[in-house]
Amino acid sequence: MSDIAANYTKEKKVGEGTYAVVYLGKQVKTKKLIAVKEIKTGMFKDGLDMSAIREVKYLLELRHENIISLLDVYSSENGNLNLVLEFLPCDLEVLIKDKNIVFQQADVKSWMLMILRGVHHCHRNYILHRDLKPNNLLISPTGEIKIADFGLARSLGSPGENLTANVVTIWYRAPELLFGSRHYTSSVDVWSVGIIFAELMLRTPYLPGTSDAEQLEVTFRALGTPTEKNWPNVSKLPWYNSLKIYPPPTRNELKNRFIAASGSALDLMISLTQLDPAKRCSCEEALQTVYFTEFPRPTKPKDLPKKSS
Amino acid sequence: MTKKEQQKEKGDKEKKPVTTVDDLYRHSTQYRLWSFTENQLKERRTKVNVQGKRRALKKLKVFCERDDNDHKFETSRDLLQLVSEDEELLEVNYYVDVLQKLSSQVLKLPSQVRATAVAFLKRFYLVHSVMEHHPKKVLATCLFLAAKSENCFMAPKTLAEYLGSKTTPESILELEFTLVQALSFTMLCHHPYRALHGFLFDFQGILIHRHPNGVVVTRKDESTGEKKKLRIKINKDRIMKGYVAAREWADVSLKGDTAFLFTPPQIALACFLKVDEEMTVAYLTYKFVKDQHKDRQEEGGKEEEEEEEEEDSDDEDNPETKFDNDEEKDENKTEEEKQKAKEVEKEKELEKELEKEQHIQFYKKMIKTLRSCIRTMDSVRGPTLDEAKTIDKKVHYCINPDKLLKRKRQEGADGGQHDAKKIKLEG
Repeated sequence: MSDIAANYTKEKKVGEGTYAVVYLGKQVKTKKLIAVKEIKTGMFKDGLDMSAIREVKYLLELRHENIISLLDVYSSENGNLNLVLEFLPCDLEVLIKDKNIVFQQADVKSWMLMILRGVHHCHRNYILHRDLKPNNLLISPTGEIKIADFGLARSLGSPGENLTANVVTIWYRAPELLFGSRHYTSSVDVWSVGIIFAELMLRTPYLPGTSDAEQLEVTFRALGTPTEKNWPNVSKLPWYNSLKIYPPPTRNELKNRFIAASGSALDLMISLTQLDPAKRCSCEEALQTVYFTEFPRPTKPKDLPKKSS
Repeated sequence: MTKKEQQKEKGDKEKKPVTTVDDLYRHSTQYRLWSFTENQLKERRTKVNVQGKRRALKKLKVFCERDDNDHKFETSRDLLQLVSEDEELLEVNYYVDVLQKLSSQVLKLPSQVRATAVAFLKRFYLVHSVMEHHPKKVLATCLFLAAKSENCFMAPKTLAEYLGSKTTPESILELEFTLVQALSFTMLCHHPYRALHGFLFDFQGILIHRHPNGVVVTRKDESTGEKKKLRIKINKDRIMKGYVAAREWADVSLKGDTAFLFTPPQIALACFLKVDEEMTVAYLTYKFVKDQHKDRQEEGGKEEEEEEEEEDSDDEDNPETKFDNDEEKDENKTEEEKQKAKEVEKEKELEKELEKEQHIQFYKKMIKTLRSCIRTMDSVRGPTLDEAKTIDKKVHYCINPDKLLKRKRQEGADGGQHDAKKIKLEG
């Protein structure tokens, strides 16, 4: 097993979390830059860390140009698990925050196209990511979006299986999760994509709640409070109670909120952020909307804005 | 859009065929790493067995050299009974059984977790021999990792308490990394359950909703043995009953080599075929042959349900549906036009025939695959209890040569009275 270790070098420690250390290194043969995520083992009473297991499990199944590639897995001499990942120097959050960069509509469209393609690939393999946010959308040196961090991913639930609602960073958390639903589907990821779409246009987080309770408030103030009328059975969800009722925004209000958005961009955003998960579109449907075929054409990845420095 | 652009787009579409569910499955690690032909499986097992024998002997040698009671390896090696390839497989099958009983009856785990634990155990023994790691120990780690990987976490301590006797949290965790490595880090397993559930709905869709007037099946007359076609109605209860029975067979399919040789939907259909052949054959013929033509007829604005009654073929493997297309007669057309129309019609007819033939070939191939899947499911052989005890003893001494040497010593000392030190088989 350790023969594989000799193929890679670890040169610089670039990050450390509770269960892993990330190094920057090279593939010896090709001199290609890589990242090695060394997962600490043997120090936990429950064995291999759950996030590490999920990450390896799902990344080994998924190969797609918009999903980070897991190049190799090996154990180092100290018995730790090492994931060799492609090196991705930037992420979408960095770009959103970089006020020196101007986003064109064609750029936003290009990112959305790549995000949706990657998420669609997860979904058609019955895998939910459950933690989509700009920070987890890495960017390759050639401008391609790569979905990363599958530490919270899971397979689509079986009928009757209970899933945990405590997933997704709260700003990107779908309303059914905020209500504590135990039976949800890939539509939780679609919601996150919708909120990321809004953030790409606004250049600031769309629904920045500071707590679970406030997240409900922020979400519904922006998008209207769900009721039995527009979301049948919503009141039966565990944490649906004593909500302040906000009316849904009119199209005009949304138009004013997203000044630069074209009609079809707005249509797509509305479909992605439907409160009722049953009404929310799928990635496949989103990819087939006019938004992606109408002018302007999406920017080629290599021509997309890069980190200014 | 200009014509050129349109053509280009059409060209692009042709270049990029639609990705099917089958394509996706072919990219899964289960297909890439853990699907085999029968020969490939045999080769792997031979290799693992050779490797196991070599390691067991080496281990014994090391102990002999270390042993102060001066056991010679040359004399001791005759005592060591190595496990044969067949015995190795029997031993694994035996512990698959133990694992299944334990996880369903004692731990009451969801089927997904049970199936994954079994898959882990079987995959592990395509990499390691039972002479290297005792299945009793490995199965505990398989259960632990499967539960963790399927979002059904169980603390090692809890699991150890359930498994009792020699299982400790440490012994479970000790092998976790070895197991993950043996699995080449692949942990996503596809089982027949999801496919079964899908077929439950599709059986209803095709056999009830699409054909509310019933479906034509071939039945053998009990007394005359003659095959006869008749139209029957299949109701929801029958489908549900089939589903429940098929699910039990899906549990059975986890044993043996079925999951290494067939895909989950194939196994699911084989289970249905096994429990209700008439209904499953009806589903398959309508889904893959008859309805394929019916779609075409509907497109042309015709639907000839009754035609099916006239079928003369009574071979289930040849579900041909006769259907004719009324020739279009139009008095106003000139002879030439008529001739042309006739030719076009003829060509279409030929194309349809070809397509029909393809559908029938596809169907035949599928039935053949499903029958072979059923044969595999039926051929699983577990050891008898005596066989299991004998093999288990061999395994025990291969892994613990020190105990073998100790026994030898005792036998030498008191004439073999302690020979019958039993190895308990749990489960």
